[in-house]
Amino acid sequence: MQQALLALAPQGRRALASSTALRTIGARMFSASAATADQQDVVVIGGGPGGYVAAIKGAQLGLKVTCVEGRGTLGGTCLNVGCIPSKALLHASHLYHDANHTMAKHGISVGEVSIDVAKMMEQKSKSVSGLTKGIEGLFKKNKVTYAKGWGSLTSTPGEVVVAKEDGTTQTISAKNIILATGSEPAALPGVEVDEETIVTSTGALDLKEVPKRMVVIGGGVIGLELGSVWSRLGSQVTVIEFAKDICPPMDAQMRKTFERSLKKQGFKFMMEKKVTGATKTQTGVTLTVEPSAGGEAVEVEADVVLVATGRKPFTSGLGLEAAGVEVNKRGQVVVDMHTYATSKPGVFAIGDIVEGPMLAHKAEEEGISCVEQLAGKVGHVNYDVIPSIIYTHPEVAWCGKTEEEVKATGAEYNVGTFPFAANSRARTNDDSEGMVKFISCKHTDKILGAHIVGPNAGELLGECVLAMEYGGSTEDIARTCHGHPTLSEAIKEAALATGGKPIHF
Amino acid sequence: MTQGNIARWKVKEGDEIRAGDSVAEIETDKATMEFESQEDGFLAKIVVGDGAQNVPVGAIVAVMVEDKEHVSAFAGYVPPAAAAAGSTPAPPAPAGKASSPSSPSSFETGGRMWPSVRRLLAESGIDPSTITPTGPRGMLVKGDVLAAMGLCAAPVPSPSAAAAAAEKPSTTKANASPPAPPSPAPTPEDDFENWEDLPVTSIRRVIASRLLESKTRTPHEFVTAEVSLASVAGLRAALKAKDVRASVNDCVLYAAARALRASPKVNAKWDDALSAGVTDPDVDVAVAVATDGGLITPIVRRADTKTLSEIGDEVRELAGRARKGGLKPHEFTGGSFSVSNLGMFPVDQFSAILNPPQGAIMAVGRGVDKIRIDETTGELFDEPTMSVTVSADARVADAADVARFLEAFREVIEQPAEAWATGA
Repeated sequence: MQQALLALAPQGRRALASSTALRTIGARMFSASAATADQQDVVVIGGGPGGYVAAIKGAQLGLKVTCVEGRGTLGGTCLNVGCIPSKALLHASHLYHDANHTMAKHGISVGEVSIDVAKMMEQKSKSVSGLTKGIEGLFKKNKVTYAKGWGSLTSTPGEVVVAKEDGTTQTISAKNIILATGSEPAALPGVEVDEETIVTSTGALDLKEVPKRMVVIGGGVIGLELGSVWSRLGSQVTVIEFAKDICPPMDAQMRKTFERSLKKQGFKFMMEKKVTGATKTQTGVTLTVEPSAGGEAVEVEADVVLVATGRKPFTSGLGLEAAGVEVNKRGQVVVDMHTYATSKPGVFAIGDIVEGPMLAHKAEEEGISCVEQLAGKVGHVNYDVIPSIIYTHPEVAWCGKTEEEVKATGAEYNVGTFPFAANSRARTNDDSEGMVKFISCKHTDKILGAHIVGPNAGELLGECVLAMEYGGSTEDIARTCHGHPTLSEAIKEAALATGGKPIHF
Repeated sequence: MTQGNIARWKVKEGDEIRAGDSVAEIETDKATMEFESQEDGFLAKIVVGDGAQNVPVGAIVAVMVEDKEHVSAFAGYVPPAAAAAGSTPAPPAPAGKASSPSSPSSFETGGRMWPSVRRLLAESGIDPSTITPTGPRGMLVKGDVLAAMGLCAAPVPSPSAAAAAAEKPSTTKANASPPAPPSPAPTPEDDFENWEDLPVTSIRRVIASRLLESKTRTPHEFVTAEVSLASVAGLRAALKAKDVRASVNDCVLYAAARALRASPKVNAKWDDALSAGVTDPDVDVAVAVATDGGLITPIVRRADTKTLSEIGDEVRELAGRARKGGLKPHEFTGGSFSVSNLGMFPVDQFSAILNPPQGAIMAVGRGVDKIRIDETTGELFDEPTMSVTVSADARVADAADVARFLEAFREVIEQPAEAWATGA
């Protein structure tokens, strides 16, 4: 074993010359295989989209990589209790809604339509586990070592301690460490979560039956998406929001269209209200609701309450203080947003635990950029061109600046819009709510913002993101041939309308 | 230029060519010029050989390739029949390039060029290699061409445009730090050769190419005259007493405008299509103003109808905005005549280059006091004088026409003070 260790650690920072040293190392590794004895080029703590992507990329670039994850499955919040399960339920509930409301119009009679929640959840779990196992397969294929346990830093540089399920610990030596531990739902004081009747997104993805009345606290993306799921399945959904607008980062004109659509779907909104207390009763939950600025309280009853007031970085148990990694007031790890270096040399951080939009694809981009730089290459994330998508129906997607943001810079701009009601494909599909909006520089026609509310918005935005990545103008999109009949023609027409005239409206 | 002759090729098929090498002599209807290669490569095939006459602009005359191995692939190459400028389909693989003399509209289609950029380049005829790209990864974007056309301010380069510029020297040994803009920190050894690379703006590139075209393609003739500034001096003093500003240049513009009204051959330009000089209907005098970005010429329209004060006020307003880059395109494009005044420097006389598409330009020197002898009394007196040199397109106005214009100019600028329509 000693000979093997000597052979395996040629570049090791620690001289493995003395046998005393060897014995000490050997003593600390209980369930270690020979592979973990050698120093890793990169240890990634966290196996979510940021972490696993960084790990795979690092391995592809020739680095020795270990990824530490304690959840038991890879994929992080995204695959396990976030993006993927929510999209599975959104899809299922969309099918149910279609069967109940739109199929008849096309001459399809389906008789009595019912929803088997357990079966729906089973299908969701199947997609999730298929994907999480897939990541394990990718790790094997790319030779990323998967350390199962909760990782943390110590006061010793280059050291990661993994607390395993069986109670043992493993110490991994790392030249570089990337923290990618993601985020968790923020708590709302006065409203205690039990993940059964008062739930966060995690619980909302696993309800046992369709609640008759659902109250969503928080009018952001997560609240509206999950509210959509249960609303389609039959719940009466009420959204209570502290600010005067839902989805504050959205363009105001687009938000109006979106809100109108949600109301048509049966959503009720209580804006500029805050929830100060929640009491569980025989019949459900009673919430105490006040105006945001303070004032007279009213009571709102619900069968299930979803707390979706935001997410915060997850860094507990990471040993950041002991390791000397600086964290700001919001709990985010302080990093240089180009190199992702923390205050501690050799330690980097990406994804939801650092500043910026809490999006899986943003974490992925950062993960790739970080390991590319560690591998001696050039990595770059273009933060101006990161898409945002809300998976309701109609879908919402945007990239770049809102009209309000452009106005605030004082720059002169053009706006072009085109409604899906004037798009042949959308009309044919009888699914034509929403519009496309471009904002471009008045002088150079460079696209500053692209916004879509409508069917397949998330997919349609791809073309706009590509154009914006290359500094394109609306004329460039307008002069590119778009197939007919497709929804993408609405993109072309909105581009034509920016500073000019559309053909079909 | 619409067609030319291949006088002779200076390289043969298979030869290596370096950027800057002269590869052929091209005869145009104005001159014989060296055709310099812009790129490194190998000459794969000569399509139009020595002595070929009246080859239309845009026709493929040769094929150049990057790699020597690809030369043989073009042994039997025959260019496609439709050789319309700007939309020639790319020759068959491997990547060959069509070389054709001078025309800026025969650029590569497809590839990394936005459709808006392609359209604007075709409409403006600007050579894309003269435009500084500000898009990511060194790409030209619509705003870059619009700026080169003078239709908007140059766009701000994107951060990755700076990164692309920094990456160009090969990054085999890259660093972990983010790509920085290209300015190396001076080391002690560098001190002797410390220099700063100033980026060339697209305005300067356009100025450069326009001036080259003007100087090489127009037959300039130069006629100089000396005029007396005595009357102007008296006029200015009288106006100053009434608190009215009038500069020497204002007077020069006033006089030139009125002289132009009487000189249809000088207030004219060469029209290629008609192959003749055409008189401009209006006297629109462009005034050269030096700005940080280069020389710009705001125009005083119908200057012959304006009073001295009107001209002065307008010039001051335009020049002020010109220095801040606030002129609209129509305010500095066109014009029938230009005046360039270096009188504020110790320049007695100089000859200017014509401002395309104008047919004449007047270069004004400084006022110099000269001793004169009064012919009647024999007494000595001093007189302020000024030298002006008109450069004219010899195809439009011959030296005599220019001389007659200068006579008319002298008559106005030496007229008695009361004769000036000052509007004061």
